[in-house]
Amino acid sequence: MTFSSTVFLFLFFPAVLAGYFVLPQKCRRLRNLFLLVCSLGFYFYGEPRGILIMLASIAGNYLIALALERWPARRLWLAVSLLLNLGLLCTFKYLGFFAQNLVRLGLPVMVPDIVMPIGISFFTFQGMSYVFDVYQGTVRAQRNPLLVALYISLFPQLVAGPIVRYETIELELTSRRETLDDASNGMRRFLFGLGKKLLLANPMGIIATEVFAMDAAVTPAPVLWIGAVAYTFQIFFDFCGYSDMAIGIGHIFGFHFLENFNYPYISQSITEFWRRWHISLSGWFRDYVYIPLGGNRRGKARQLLNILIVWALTGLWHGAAWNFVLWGLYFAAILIAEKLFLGRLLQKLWRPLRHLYSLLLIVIGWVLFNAGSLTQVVQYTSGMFTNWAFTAAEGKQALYLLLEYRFEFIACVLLSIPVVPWLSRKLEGRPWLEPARMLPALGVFALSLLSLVSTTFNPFIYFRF
Amino acid sequence: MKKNWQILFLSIVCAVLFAVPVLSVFGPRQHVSLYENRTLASLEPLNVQTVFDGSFFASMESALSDHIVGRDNWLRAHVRWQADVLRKPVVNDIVLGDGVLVPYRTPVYTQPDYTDKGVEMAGRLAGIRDLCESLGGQFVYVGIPEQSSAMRGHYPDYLYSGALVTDEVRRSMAQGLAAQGIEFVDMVPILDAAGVEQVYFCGDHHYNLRGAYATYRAIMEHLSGLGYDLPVLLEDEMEYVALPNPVYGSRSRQLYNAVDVHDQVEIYTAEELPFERWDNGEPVESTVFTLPENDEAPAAYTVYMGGDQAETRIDTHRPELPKLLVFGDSFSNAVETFLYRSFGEMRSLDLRYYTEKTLSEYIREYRPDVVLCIRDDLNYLSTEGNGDFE
Repeated sequence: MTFSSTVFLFLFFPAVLAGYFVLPQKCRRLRNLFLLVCSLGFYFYGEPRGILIMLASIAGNYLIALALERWPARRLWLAVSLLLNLGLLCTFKYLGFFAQNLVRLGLPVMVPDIVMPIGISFFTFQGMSYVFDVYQGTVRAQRNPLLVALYISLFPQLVAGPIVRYETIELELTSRRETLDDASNGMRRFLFGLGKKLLLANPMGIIATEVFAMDAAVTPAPVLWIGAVAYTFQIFFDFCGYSDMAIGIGHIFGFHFLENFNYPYISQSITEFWRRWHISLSGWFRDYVYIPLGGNRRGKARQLLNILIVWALTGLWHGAAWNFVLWGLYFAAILIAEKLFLGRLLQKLWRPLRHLYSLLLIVIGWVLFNAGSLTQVVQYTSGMFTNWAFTAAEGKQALYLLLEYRFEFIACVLLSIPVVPWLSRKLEGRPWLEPARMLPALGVFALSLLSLVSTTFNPFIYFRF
Repeated sequence: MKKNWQILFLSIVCAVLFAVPVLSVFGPRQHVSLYENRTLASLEPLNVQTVFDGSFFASMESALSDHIVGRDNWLRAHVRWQADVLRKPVVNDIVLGDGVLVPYRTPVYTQPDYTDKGVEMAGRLAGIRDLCESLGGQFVYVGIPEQSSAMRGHYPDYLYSGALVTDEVRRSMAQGLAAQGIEFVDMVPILDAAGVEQVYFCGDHHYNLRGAYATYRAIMEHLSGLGYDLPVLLEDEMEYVALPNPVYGSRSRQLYNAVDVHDQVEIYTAEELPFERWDNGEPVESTVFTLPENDEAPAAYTVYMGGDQAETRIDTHRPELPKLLVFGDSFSNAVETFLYRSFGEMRSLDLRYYTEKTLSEYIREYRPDVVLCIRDDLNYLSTEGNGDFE
């Protein structure tokens, strides 16, 4: 079930809202139990068979965290946790990929036909972060298994993030307050997220799907650029929209998840981009992989190696395919270059050129990410720079795409830069600010519903991770 | 004040979230979508298997989407929003153009070469031709340009019309037919000369009745050239009658009739010719026009011959006239409303639906004097449906 589906919007969401707020605020346990049942139902709807895997992950992490506090062999329990979580990930996400590669090497290996449970990358990472935090003493192990289950399976962030740290909502699990302010802001955030998904990401996805399906070797460069830029917007508004919806729903129920995006496309370097993009994942890898590997404390060479490892893993986390590994290593190479010399050079550049540098590398990065094969990566990226010899008739598709999606492109550009926060600051304190914030949200809601009922193109990119 | 606004805002959103499902479940039910020409989705039966294989939940999504309250209005409003407010040149994959609706086509950047496919298809048709001739009959292939192919000039300059591919399909097919010596009535120049705006629907992918009549006359002239002396319905012996009904064309339906196009479904009246008709072996009303129930009911291309039928047989009880077999896609329907008047018996097959015998078996059994294959240029090379003779 996606947030931008009719079943979620018109059955699940109203039912959860009604059931939750009918229960008295004092009955926190009952409200939590209701949320847990709904969250499990949410997952069961999308992945009836996968729910046992998630429940096993929850039970395992709950017991390991308790064991970590109770028994002295802490490293052993940490190893057991790694074995459990990485074992689940490897089995359900990577086993087929590994087997395929062994077959390519000529080894007589059976390629298993395993269906990856939705959101496994997210819930295993949340489970691991909980155990790691208990291991590091940042948080205490939770005695109540239902609260651990609620933390891991909470439906707003269950299948596509953001990856919520246990410490972020530890207190709110037991003693949150649902307020009118939170509900109103949360609903508004949810509606804008829905709009980002349905009104911007989906149209951009139509362009990207069409252009990426063309033979990049002969497609005019302007068309390839429009396709690449469209995918750049699609993935941002798709994922950012989902995060907005998740954070918004969290607010309604009194949870305050941390932000997952901070206008990543205004970055002036790739280092900055990764501080602004999928913040919860970058933070996870920083705190649970990069720093434990030694971070920057063991000399330059080790630091660079650590960056390489983290980014290869980041690539693999996004998908069990070589183009994702290549994508991770691509960013690792740029980050290493920025650490070594490029960062200093960039500082001397004119600011618009720094933006241009970042955007160019980001767009190419998304081409690597979206390409179906290494051949397409090569053809598409080289075509973007070399396919400039074309007739006017061949080039007119670019004109059509710009004309057809002109409003969406303009909206994508405007919402990729912090125009809304700037406006909010400017208008702070005006008596009509509240209705001025509500009306656009209602307008976006109406247009989103029109789009939802009328269109069938509605994929969530981050659901496949 | 702020609190009041917040309550109002949440009330409006919640009212929509709660009212839509309630009205959808308890409101009036539609089972068929006229615009989409399909049965609306329904829920899978609820049992352990459908729950665990996910089919029940999947059906929930499509059933709720299909039965959402006021669905047709939502769909039409969305088209209007895109066409009238955002002024998009293409809506729901339909190019709005200049009052003529044509499909959006993804551009092709390399010159295609379908020579081999043309040779292969013509070879297969030659097999049918040889069979007809061995039984004393005549085979004629009739090629009709599909609406978007004929009206390619109505695409805006910045959109690809599909001409690169269609021209190559036409060329390779004509070359293949010529190499095999198959009689070919190419309607491209004839319908062009008639003025495509006059002989095609603006919001449907077929020609209109006037285009069908032009095709009928071209076929009859060709058969006359081959030595057949057949009665021909002349234009001054008939009168076109426009139906007052709203037209549901295949392309305008894709826009839920929210964009105005100037189409009318026509029938004709002429001197009465008694005949009997059977569809799929069952006797049916002796008419070639299936009229809407009343003046408000939608009319579509299916008025002609009652739409696609697997097998139709019309006997005009004139054994002195030759027997005709027509096979092909829906373009054959409108022209059949004229063709039956020139033959003693006319049978038509739509091989997409007819599965009882192979085309060869049918021809051997029926032993027609004339066999017409009527196909549109988008499907010349397709080996499925009416391109699959075995």
